[in-house]
Amino acid sequence: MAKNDLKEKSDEDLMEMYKLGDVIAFEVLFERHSGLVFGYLKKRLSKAKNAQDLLQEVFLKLHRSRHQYDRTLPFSPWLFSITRSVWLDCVKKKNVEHATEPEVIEDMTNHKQMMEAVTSGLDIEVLNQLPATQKEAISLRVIDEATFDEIAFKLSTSPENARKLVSRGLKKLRDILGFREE
Amino acid sequence: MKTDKEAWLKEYTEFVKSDGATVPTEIFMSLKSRLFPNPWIVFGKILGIHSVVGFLSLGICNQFGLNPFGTEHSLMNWFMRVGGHNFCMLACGIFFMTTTYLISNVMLGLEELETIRRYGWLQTGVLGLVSLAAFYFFGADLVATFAGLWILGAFIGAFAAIEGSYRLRRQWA
Repeated sequence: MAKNDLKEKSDEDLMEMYKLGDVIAFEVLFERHSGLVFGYLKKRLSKAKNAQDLLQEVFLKLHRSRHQYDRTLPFSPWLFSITRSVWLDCVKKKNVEHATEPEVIEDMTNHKQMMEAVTSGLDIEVLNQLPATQKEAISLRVIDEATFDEIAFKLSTSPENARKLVSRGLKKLRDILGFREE
Repeated sequence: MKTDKEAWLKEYTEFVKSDGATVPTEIFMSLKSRLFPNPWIVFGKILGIHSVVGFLSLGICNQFGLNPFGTEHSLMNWFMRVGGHNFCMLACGIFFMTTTYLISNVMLGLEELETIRRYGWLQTGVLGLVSLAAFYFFGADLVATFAGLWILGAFIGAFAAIEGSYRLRRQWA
């Protein structure tokens, strides 16, 4: 069947054809959905190259799981679940690699000392002086030891913005507590 | 704190309502070559594996009396004792092709195995005939009936090995 004829078909029909080995059906599905998947990943990763790699991983996973697809269920949530699981796997993997870097451990220790000063002094009110998103970003970074990608994911923002939230929050805390940067 | 389900739904809504991003064309080309490898390249790899594995397998099971390693014991003798000459030819064909496809299963990617599966009959036919030609070249005495049984065995072994190993690999993918 020609590509133009397939463009009229539903995602579910295309998946059925793809399961039977129709490569053109895969091409149409890719054209239809790759932009959404790429946009979702790009928003959550600081480097475009990583988003491109993950986009390929998503469609590779889709390819390998195509026989498990149930035609009676809509295609879009299924694709989204694959996209999200690939993204979460990437975050977990990054977390493990990131946590072993010495400068990160040192950085976290410095932040922890300040947080301990806040919490041990029963001065929780100090934290409450921060805007809600900054407070949550700092808690995730310092207490849960989350990466910026992970914070961005939890706060539904970009990693760049997550970094800014943590940095601004810590600066404000330093000012409030009278800590000096070394 | 949002539950996982709520977070999933929120992100899914954002996902379907977004305008998306422009995907560079080279991504699709690279993905396509990964998911649907060129059958000729895959056949070249299989041919390479078959040349080495097939030659080494002669040490365990002589084909048409060819015994380059001079081994004393051969599966061929056992096959002859168990089922006679016809059975021996069939079993030798099965063994010869099964070993190639089982080793290929370890060395090639899942998508390459899918390509082999798609063109399995053709590839096995070509490999079988090339092997018979090689045996003849190295001095084997080929008789049409026996060669026919050997080819039949090669097809049976290839089909079983390709299907079995592909299904196993897909379970773990």
